[in-house]
Amino acid sequence: MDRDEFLKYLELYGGDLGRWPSVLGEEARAACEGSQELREALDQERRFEESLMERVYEEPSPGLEARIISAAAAVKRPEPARNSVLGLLGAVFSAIPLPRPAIALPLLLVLGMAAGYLYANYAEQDTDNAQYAEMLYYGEEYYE
Amino acid sequence: MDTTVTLPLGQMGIETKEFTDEELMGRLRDGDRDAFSTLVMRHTKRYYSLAYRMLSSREEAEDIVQESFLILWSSPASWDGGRETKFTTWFYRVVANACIDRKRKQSPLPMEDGIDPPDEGRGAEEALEMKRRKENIDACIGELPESQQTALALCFYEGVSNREAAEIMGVSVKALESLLMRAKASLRGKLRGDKGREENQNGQR
Repeated sequence: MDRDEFLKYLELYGGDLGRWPSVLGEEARAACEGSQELREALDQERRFEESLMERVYEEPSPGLEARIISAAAAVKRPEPARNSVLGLLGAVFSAIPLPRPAIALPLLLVLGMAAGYLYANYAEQDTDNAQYAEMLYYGEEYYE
Repeated sequence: MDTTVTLPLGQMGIETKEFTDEELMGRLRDGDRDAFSTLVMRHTKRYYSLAYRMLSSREEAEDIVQESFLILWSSPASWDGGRETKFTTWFYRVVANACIDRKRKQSPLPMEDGIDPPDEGRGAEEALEMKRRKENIDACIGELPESQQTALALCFYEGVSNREAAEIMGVSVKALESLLMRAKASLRGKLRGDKGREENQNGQR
């Protein structure tokens, strides 16, 4: 690892070589051993990070967790819709670890087929009605 | 990061099974309060810490963490367990976004006046100096762009890996690394500048 690479990674991963990706960390240690300049850069980075860690921090109030849990008890939560068919279907689909398009496409196909079947029946029934009306108008002879 | 704890499941009579966060979310969807309580006990401190780093206020940070957990409780379906996002990553995103929203709604706070306290000896002076330094670091970080602050809070203060932080922020790893580098360079410059000014002032006294 050359000087520029070392300085770039130092900026990126910080002064704790243990937190660098393992291969780079090893290379960085080796590079530091052979260079006073890099050791100084590492020390400087560590001092900079220590100064950032001096930033104000306040611990949360004791009992924050208990407060959140009791606040949740007061929140009305919609019951899981397991009693309805749609709720059950939703539960089944959410339990299947498939990407959404893989569920949506077959669902669309099924809906399309159902719509086609219903429309075909409706259209057939419509034709029958029209024929019956014509028969009444013209008389049965018309069709014989 | 994927810690597991013993969860007493009173209703089912199971006492010793261990659950991951993702399993607990599954139970939470079914309205299991114990699962919710376990998630709260397990993760509140971690998310408070992020919120505090982003908002610099204990009350605000606690508020944000509570709001986020209540959203989780009232609509657990907002976490899509089918995708490959870990619960912790997803919830970091929820909390970070809530903090960003809160900051945008806030009007900037007026800077504190530098009132000199009465001289109470060297100890008091050092304590005051330390307090000033901490506040100065906070102010310098507060001046960074929002995305740099978030990147710094996640990677530097929370120890989240660059890859996970990028996922939380919805940016590429390269973009995140660039944000981090710019944040550090900018802070280094600001802190160096402030130190130089301080030394000049001390020299003039």
